[in-house]
Amino acid sequence: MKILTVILILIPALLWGQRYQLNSPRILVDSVFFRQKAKVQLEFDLDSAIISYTADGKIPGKNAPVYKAPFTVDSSAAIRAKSDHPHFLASSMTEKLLFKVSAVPDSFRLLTMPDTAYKGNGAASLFDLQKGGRDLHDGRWLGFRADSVVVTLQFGQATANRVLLLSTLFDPGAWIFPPRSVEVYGQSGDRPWMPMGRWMARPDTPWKDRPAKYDDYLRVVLRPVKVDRLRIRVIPYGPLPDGHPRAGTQAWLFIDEIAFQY
Amino acid sequence: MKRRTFLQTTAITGLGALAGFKTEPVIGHGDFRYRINARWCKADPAKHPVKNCHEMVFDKSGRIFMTTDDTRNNILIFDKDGKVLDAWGRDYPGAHGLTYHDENGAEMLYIADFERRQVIKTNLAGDVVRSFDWPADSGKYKNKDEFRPTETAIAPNGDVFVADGYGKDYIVHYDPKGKVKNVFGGPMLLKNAHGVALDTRTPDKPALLVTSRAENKLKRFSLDGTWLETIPLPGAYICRPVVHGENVYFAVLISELPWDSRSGFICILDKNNRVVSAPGANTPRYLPDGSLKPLYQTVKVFKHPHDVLVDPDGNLYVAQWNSDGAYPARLEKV
Repeated sequence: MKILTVILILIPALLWGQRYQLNSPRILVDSVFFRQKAKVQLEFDLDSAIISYTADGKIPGKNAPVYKAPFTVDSSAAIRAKSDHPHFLASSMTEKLLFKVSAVPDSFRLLTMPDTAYKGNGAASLFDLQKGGRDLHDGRWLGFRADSVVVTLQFGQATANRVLLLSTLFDPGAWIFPPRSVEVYGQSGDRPWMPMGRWMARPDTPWKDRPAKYDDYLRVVLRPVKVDRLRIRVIPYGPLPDGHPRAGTQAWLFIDEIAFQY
Repeated sequence: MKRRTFLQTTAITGLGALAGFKTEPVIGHGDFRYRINARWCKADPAKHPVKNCHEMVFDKSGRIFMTTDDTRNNILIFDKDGKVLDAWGRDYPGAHGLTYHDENGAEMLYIADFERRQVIKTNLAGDVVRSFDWPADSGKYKNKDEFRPTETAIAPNGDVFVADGYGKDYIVHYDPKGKVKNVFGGPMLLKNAHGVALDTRTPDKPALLVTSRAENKLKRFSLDGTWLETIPLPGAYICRPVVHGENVYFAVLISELPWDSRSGFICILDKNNRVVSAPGANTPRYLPDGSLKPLYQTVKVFKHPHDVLVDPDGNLYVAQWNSDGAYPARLEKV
């Protein structure tokens, strides 16, 4: 029976004049960053098409569930999905990461001003649990052209976090590159500032053949000790690299969210 | 669809193909469904190279004229079977918009060249009749370089409307001899005013259809430049309006940013400016509040459709920008 099924599936593949591939389904969520839960909806509105998906980061294979209705997740998740149709080649897999956030600061301050063209809603844009879209003027992105970007924040009560997520983007055609490094310092009461964690870009990270990515998340692993306040220092990429049409010009840094996880 | 149903459909389709049905897939919705013919064009890239294929028009005898920015042959002329009949033009590095106008029996072409910062009127053999230059005295432009026209529309009286789609998003209204009569639209009203067409569906109330491509909207203006109406088409980066009968057709360059996302499709409106078919995209659906659910590419038939031409039988010819030198394809109405 299995062999017969395979043969029947292969027939259109052999006889179709030219095979066209499906685009990937759309993964819509009410919030990429969430405190309690997030609603996930998959869309691919083409007659006779199905969407296979997983919510645990696995590749959606032949036994993956077929999407029927929106669902919720209550912990961080990697949603992966692909579309299939009898007349077309299956889509490539698409993925969206969702992050359950452990703490949100009570107050925050930007010590480095964003460029006036991309100032969003100031520091609030970085802690509003809102992911920016493709439009850099959507008010959720902050764009910087500076030697360093410094943000300070205060928690309502001493808080321990294991991970700081810096949500940034990579679009070499728009001169936007990820940072070189991220340093995090913490303070409790009047005690001295202490290093909490550091992230460094690999110096040989290739950029030429990488497509633009508007959901590039950097994870800074933190010391899980309780602190009242944090100081975050982001070092942008610097001059655009050799081989770039604008090599030597200062790259842009864009950030739309800073989030914490335990 | 359940997986079991999906497998059954796949199997039935395969058996159908075995039984001798045509095997190219069909795309589109409702009364506007098409079988893909990607091999319609018979051009030889060694003889008639293309970079971007921009726009296409019919002449009176049914020949198809197309602009490409390859200066070895800026205009390619095809018969209805996709064979190249002729080619001309080496002086149009930004050959983009192409509009046909029957001027009391004299057939004319208007080539919008955004690199030359002008629109050039020629006859069908390529002899230049006139150029339409930047509106220097309008006060809207500091210099010629700000003017990067993408499209033209010709009014019944021969007046010419030029869309400055890669420049400052104004519509420049010229008399037939090239004198500027009015400048309207602009960056506050239009974002990437890429295409303009005469709305011949309302002969008693002539109007212009203008694509505001970057904001996914079609806008109607009176011929004196008054804004009349906005038709939102979320997800559709519409290139130019093509009016055919009571319908308006669009090549949709992309359905998501970035601009080279290869996510284009075709979009067709009815007489009430509602989407009735979106070949290559999802099923058009309207919400109870009357808004259109966002359109997005479902099948990768096209990369970046840039213009669509409709023949008398309703078949479509699709020219593409930035698509690896692809020649136009034909969508055959079923």
